[in-house]
Parts: sequence; structure tokens; C-alpha cells
Amino acid sequence: VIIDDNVVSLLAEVAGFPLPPDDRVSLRRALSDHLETAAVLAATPSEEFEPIVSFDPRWL
Amino acid sequence: VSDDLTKLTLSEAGERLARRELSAPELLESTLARLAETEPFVHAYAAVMESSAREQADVAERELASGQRRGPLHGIPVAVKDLCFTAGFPTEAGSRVLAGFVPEVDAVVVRRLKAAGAVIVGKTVTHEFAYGQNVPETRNAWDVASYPGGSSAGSAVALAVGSAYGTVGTDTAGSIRVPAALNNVVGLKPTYGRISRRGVVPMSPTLDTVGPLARTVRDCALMLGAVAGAETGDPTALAEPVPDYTARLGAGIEGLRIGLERRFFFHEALDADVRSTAEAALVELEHAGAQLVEVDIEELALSTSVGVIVVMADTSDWHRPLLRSRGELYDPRTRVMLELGELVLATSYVHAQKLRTKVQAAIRRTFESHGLDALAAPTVPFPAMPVEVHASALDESSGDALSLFLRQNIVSLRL
Repeated sequence: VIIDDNVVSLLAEVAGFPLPPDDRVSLRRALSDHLETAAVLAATPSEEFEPIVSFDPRWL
Repeated sequence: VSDDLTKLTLSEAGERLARRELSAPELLESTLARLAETEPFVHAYAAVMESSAREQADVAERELASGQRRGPLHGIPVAVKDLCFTAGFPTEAGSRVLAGFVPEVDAVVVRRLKAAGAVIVGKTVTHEFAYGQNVPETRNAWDVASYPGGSSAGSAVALAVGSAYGTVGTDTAGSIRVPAALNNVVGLKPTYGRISRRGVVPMSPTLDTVGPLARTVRDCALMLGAVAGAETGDPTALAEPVPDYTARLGAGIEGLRIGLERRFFFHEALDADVRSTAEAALVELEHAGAQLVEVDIEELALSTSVGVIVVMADTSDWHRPLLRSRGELYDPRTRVMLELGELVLATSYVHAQKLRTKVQAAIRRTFESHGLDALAAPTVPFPAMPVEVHASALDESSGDALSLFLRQNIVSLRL
């Protein structure tokens, strides 16, 4: 997926936050980096683990 | 013993107050004078609470004079990060977004400091909302051209220059430990929930901690003992007894088993000076009787990415209404991270929380299988850099300042 200014603006509109024009380039770069990271994580198996949902800080 | 009161440790100052060799107002005035002398150079304080501090010092003095000593913090000038609510006094979190916000109540940590008889000197500078994206005016205590670390920058610098004896910071991904390391003071990210987060502007509800900073380990232990403990109405506060954290100080570390994960914490990008200093510290630990145990925790490689996703999404959730109503008031770098956090997919977030469990389980397994008491690692991968270099590094990291420090700090020791 190519993240360009239009994609970033559309995503902001869908998410419902105002996107100042000056933020578009920075957000585009940051989102591209994030998607790369998320893709690496998505390929990491996690089936045997439950998400952390408890506030209890002690070891299980 | 030094005659310069600002060079005393918290413990030493407390003992002098207890012996009545020093009065609380005298100690406060000395602190305020040091503050006035150093602030033009280091900018550790967002605001000074001079008037209320004098009132608190007077009360402390009357109580101490009548033999009613509340404990080791009684009459001691301390400061709190400007994320902590202070009743009737502005709490602005380093941001124009909260300019002029005056809470009606104290944060639990502030209330407990007051109950312990501490004198609240002021609010210390934080990066905007503790996010670490902007460069606040605070400068390193040892070189005013250098970056002080963050986000609890002012809390560390105030201690190092002598304008407070103990401070409070917050730590989500290194925000106490990094500035403590870069300013040569002691900073502790306690066990999650050990100190109530109530009344503290949040980042991540599952990673945020409130913690003490001080000039010595003993002082840090005294601060922790004064503010830790269960809190009615805060389900995240740990409901367990608060031990005397000073009880085992000086008992030595003979037989302590300390794990070393060299691949992750002593990585190739580690600065040479940091590496040699850390190695020298490990030798000292061995000489003191600790056993160093080489360990391999492959899952740590996931921790930075997992941490960034969790922190981004959690933080953006709290800021949703402010981003929409006062978005133009944020520093642009902070705002972009908040915008990005709103674009993290729910499935990515849940997956990251699963992988967080995976990392946590791997660490626990390593501790159990090797009989470890602790892991040792450098706190920061590089020394304090010139402020301009740090600002440039922020720009080059696509606005993601978190990952600059997160690698070393997403896994914290739980004490």
C-alpha cells in the first residue's frame, strides 16, 4: 500500500480528527514506519498467549 | 558533613531537622536560594510554589519543634512532575493544551507527600504530556548544552543541581530512569501499581507508573516508602503492605544472581563509553559477590515494537477529545504521534498485547530457570548528547522518539 497525502487525509477523516495541512508529511512518514513495524509483528505467532487485560501487576 | 545545605542528602537533612540542628524554614530558604541561582541555566521547574511551601515549612517547623516528627520526609523540600495534580495550583503537563488548568484535588502521590510532612517546592518540567516528542527548555545539570533526558527531565535536574532533596516522576517507557541516568541521580520505576496513579495525567493505563527520584538509593527508598500503598478508589493501586525499603540497604549482594542479556541490551549500537562503563559496573558487582549469569531472551526483540504500539494507542485514547477541541495547541511532533495512535488498528493493538504477554512469559521463564534476582543493563544506549543533536535525532526518527529509548526501558525490573 502506498501511503500518500490523500490516503492520510482520508484516514484522518474516517477516524474523525482534524488534520492540519502541516501534519500531513510527518503523519505520512510516521504511518508508513508504523505499518512496517505492524507487519513484522503480525507475522509473529501469538496464538498461545492471551492479551494483557488485567491490572494485576504480579507475575502469574 | 558539608556546610552547604543544598549538598546534603535527603536522609542527612532529615536527621539534622530531627536533631533540631536545622529548621524547616531554614532548609527551605536555602533550597529556594539555590533554585533561584540555578534556574536561569537549567530550567528544571515549570512553576515554583513559594508561598505554599513557606506555609508548609512553618507548619513542619512547629510540629518538629514540639516533638511531633511524622517521619524522614518531615520538613524536606521536594518537587513533583507537572503531570501530578496540585489542588489550587496549575498543572499543565508541559503543554499549552492544559495552560491554566487548576485541579481541585491533589494527586494521591502529592497528598501522601504532604501527609509525610514534605514541603512541596514546585512542579518540575516534563516533555509535553510525557510523550518525549518535543524538546523542553530544561538542560542537563552537568552540561547545560546537553539534553537532560525525559520525560521527567526537571525532576532529575532539580536533584542534581540541589534545588530539591527528593522528586516524583512518572515512567511509562523510561521517563524516570533515562533522566536519572543522564543527570547522575537515582530513579526508580516501581512495580506497576505500587504508587497510585490517581490524579496524574496518564499516558498508558497498563504501563504508567509513578516513581521517586533522589540523590541516593537510601533517599529513593525513603521517598518510595512515603508514597507507596493501596488507595481506595484506584483499582490499579497494589493492595499489598508497604515494607521498609531501607531495611536491607547495606546488607550486601553476596550470592545475588544477576542476568545479562548481551544480545539485546549490549547491542552493536551501544556507545563505546556506555559499554565500558556498564562492563566496569558489572565487574564491581562481581567483586561485591554477585554471580553474573549469561542469558538469552529471544523474545526481547519484540519488545520495542510492542511497546510503541501499546503506548501510542493508549495515549491517543486519553487525548481524543483534546485533539479535536484544542489540537492546534499541541507541539506538532506530539500531535502527529497522537494522530498516528488513532490509526493503530484494534487488531494490531490486541496482537501487541498478546506479544507483550509472550515477552513477559519469556522473562519470567528465564528468571525461574536461572534462579535470577535481577537483570542488569545500561539505562541509556548513549551519553547525554548536545540538545541540537537530540532535536535532530527526533526529526530523523519520523516523530517516533519513543524508540530512541524504549529498547533499553520497556522491560523494567519489578521490585
